[in-house]
Amino acid sequence: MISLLIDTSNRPLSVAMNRDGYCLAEINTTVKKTHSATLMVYINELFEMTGYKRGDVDRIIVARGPGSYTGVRIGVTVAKTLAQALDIDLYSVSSLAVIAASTGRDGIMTPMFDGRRGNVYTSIYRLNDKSFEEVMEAGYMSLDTVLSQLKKYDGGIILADALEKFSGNLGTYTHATPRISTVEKFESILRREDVHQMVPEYLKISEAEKNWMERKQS
Amino acid sequence: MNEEVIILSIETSCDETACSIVRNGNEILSNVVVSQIESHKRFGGVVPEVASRHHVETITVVIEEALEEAELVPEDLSAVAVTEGPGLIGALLVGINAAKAFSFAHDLPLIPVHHIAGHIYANQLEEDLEFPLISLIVSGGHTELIYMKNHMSFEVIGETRDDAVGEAYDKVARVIGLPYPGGPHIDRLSREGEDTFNFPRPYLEPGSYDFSFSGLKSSVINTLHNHRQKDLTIDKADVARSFQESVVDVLTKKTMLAVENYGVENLIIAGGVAANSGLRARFEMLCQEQGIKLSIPQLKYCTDNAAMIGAAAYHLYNKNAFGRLDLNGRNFIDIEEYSM
Repeated sequence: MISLLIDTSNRPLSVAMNRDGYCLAEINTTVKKTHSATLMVYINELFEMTGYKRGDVDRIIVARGPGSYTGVRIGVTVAKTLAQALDIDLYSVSSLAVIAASTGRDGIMTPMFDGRRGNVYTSIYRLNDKSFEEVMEAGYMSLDTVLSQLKKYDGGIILADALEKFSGNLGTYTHATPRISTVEKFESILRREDVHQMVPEYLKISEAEKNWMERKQS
Repeated sequence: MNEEVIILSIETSCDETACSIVRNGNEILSNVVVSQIESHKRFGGVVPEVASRHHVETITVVIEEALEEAELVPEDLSAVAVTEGPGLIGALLVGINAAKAFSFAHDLPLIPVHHIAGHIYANQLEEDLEFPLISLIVSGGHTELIYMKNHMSFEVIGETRDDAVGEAYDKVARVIGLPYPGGPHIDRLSREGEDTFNFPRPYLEPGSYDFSFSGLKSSVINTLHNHRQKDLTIDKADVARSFQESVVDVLTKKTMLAVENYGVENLIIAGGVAANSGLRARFEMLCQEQGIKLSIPQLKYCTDNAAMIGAAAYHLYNKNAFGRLDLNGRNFIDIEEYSM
């Protein structure tokens, strides 16, 4: 089975072509370039590197967020359109889970993306060999909240991108960036999606909607 | 040239998710437009982040519908066109990335199109453009006068220095308590009123083809404010009529001046505000008097749609003006860059 995998949810970009769950080719960048200009170029590169044709791909797996709204939308839009155009299955994976899987390690993992004003997008996972369990649901919350949750798991590791600025103090953490090819090791974190129905997982409503709801309530 | 050119085009520059299939630049095989206006009404205007979110929700749906409505399969297509800009960047990126993915999957050439060129070429869906021509583009985001010597040749001879005319309509509508979008409401109400306020006509320096509507807008707001302070009753219909008269005076005078000075016999009005009945009526009268051929597309081709992008893309296709996979969205692009 050939899978095309896409993650453009934050500054790093990771795209890969896997065969039967193992990486044939992968392109990872952390340069500050717009994914809109690079994503399709790199996907084309993967086809050239592997020699596969468009019709050889069996499924697409995309990081659905959370992350940069625009970044997530670029990956999800390309994934949806390719799945539709090639008439193949579409799967999504949490962008936070991608980070945990990318470490290749077992244990309690807490990936974090900055969410401004001392908040983060985060989740807590327990990885053990081929099992991948979400012990705290992914969400947008204050850094303090997740740090106190993490205390329950002695030895839990915080995963963050050292190249990014965080609006709060994470304490000790391990640098991690996505390697999207690693997610097929854990079939349980892949979610089957309907191409038309699929939307990014922002984990946060837009500011405008938040303000509108507040006005409506008052 | 006997070859049929069938282009699938995508437009997501603002709050309409649209996909269309057009044959030979003028025959619409399908034209799917999903408007987000109901969602944005609650905010009193288009919210860029919300618009982008809606585009992702519907983009594959509109592509599929456009193919089904046209009863075509991707193998029948000659190319994929997409609005490159100007527009809301996050919104543009959804359409652009979908177009790139679609063109890559089906091995089709990709054609980036300027949104304003699309508005002008909306007229081609009804009849061939005749050159040279002057085009006035009036919408929520644009107010421009463009001179065209020939196909795909654009010279911007005038543009707004502040608010777009549609924007001024929305703001004035808000202060007199009319819902968003303001244009159609003011237009309707103005038919019941008189030009009693005699708001200023912002012509700028003599001979200028540029526009400025923020002063007019402020004048309306200040007048209403003074009336309210003095507890005077305000006839909203008169406000609407007075505002619209000022806008129509300025738009038509400058446009007709350009028509005269450039010696053209063809005038095209395009963009959402081209639907305004006061503006249409005045242009019809003036053009008839002066023997100018006036073209204004039907309402559904005045507002944002993808068929107009396909109409413009036809000429770019014939000139092999193709984009690459690194095509990116641009919130501002000078249309003169597109001149060929």
